[in-house]
Amino acid sequence: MGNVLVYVENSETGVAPIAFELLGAARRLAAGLGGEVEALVAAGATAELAPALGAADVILRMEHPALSPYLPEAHVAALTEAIRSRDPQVVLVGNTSAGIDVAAGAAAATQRPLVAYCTGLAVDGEAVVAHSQVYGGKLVATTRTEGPGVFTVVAGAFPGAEGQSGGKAAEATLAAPATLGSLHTRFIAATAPSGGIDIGRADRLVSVGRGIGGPENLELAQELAAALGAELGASRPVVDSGWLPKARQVGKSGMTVKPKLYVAVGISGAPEHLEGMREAELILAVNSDANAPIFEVAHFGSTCDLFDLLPALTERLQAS
Amino acid sequence: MHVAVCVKQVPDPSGVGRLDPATHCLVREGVEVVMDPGDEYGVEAALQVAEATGGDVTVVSMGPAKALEAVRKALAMGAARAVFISDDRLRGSDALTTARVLAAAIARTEADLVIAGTESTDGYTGTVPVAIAELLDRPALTFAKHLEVGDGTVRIHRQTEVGHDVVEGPLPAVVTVTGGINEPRYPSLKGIMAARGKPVEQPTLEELGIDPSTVGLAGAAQRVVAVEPAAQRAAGQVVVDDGTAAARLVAFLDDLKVI
Repeated sequence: MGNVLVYVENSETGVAPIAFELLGAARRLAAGLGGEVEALVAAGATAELAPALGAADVILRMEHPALSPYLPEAHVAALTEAIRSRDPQVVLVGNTSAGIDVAAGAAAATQRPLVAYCTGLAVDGEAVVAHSQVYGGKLVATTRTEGPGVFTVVAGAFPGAEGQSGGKAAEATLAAPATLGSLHTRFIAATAPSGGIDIGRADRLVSVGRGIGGPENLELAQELAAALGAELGASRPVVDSGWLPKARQVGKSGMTVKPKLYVAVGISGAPEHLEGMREAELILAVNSDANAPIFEVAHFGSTCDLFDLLPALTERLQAS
Repeated sequence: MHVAVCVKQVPDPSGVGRLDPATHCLVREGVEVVMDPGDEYGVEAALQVAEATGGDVTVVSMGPAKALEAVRKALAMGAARAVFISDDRLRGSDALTTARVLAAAIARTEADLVIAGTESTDGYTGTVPVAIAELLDRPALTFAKHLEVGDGTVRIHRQTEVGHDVVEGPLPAVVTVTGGINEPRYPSLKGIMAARGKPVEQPTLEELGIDPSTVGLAGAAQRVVAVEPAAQRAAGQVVVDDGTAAARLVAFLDDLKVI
């Protein structure tokens, strides 16, 4: 006991950035618990993934064809096996669409409690104290887990730098559980990332919501985005209506973004949207309803009619 | 096909969440409560599968007595019957206990397919449906933004950060659906009237075969010791429409050297 096990999310593009944040968090927790950091990397092939995980004390490599591409059932079985055989006190998993599944399934299979949406983790005596977001991020809960537990950690909660440094870890092979040979579910196909749009990397974003009225008005936002040198984003209703592709969706069910500038146009600010953009450095909001929740997170807002404001803003930006 | 759908009543997500300072449990009395908006997609998905296959829908829910309203709403939307577990001893239960109770209730139905929202708006762990699947030893197919049921199989489009994966599994199975998978129907007046006469079974913990000493706050393996509002940033500046907004926005951006 006292060890910290990190589940290393990965894909054909390599180790996911969240894994380094988890390794950094794990180092601090292991120091407090007097234990070691073990990193589980489970994939079809792990030889190219392991060298990046030097911040761990031990890298546990588990290989099986069923582990790539990612299939929730297979990775639940892999993490469950690792927890059973290594019996760590703390299991850290990224709070990502893959990690939420893996953590929940493995926690249930091993009967360990789970704290999701963790933004802070610390050791107090022999217990782990977690700060986590609840109620759509409006409240922060402090949870004390005395015994073994599983924690999913929000991206960006810990710096990745500590998890990227470090020396050479010992490596061990962990046998894949037999269940991987007889899974119930199967992976059929993945859609290609759409057209190279990556709003997650954009420094500036202009996002449109239902207030834009219809696809015929998107040009107004596109022109503003062009004048600002920004990418175009959207809230869920706009994507659900098919006005813009899914790759442009900001929010909990889309992309979480942290641009330097975020301009919300005709977005009321449903909790699902706010969660995906509230960490932006500077938020401007244009919405006709002065009571819209978007103004709670905006640094600067206007209730002007966006159909007047957008062209005026674009024109002034082009002139300046 | 018989479909079971999990629903939960939550404090209105558009309100401000409050917690009992003594118990650290979410205050569910004296605040606006609604069926979790995420569950409306689940109910709609369940109804669509049942309608397409000539089956019906059983609503499964756990919560305080007042949460029967959320169950009634699902019945008004078109579900045939409900299993509602309401027992004061369950107060403060953690996600795993909740899953044990719901799994025991689902096991009493003849459902081939269990549908749930991806995560509740309040507790917010996303754990319960996957835990139910583990406990029932059924595969879990998660984050479905598209769902189709074939002959003994279910196929979903699993939403990912970059697009979606097509995943297939055998029935019986547990599927979680994301917002946007469908457009949930509103209960019709006729549906609301009909819901009053639909059967709502209310089994006790003992009838579900669950040891009461293992549930509630006492059975939880973790303890919530404090809950506080998330840090709010200082209120921003809002310009009410007076014709100068464009100029002031540009000046604001200019000041910050954004442009």
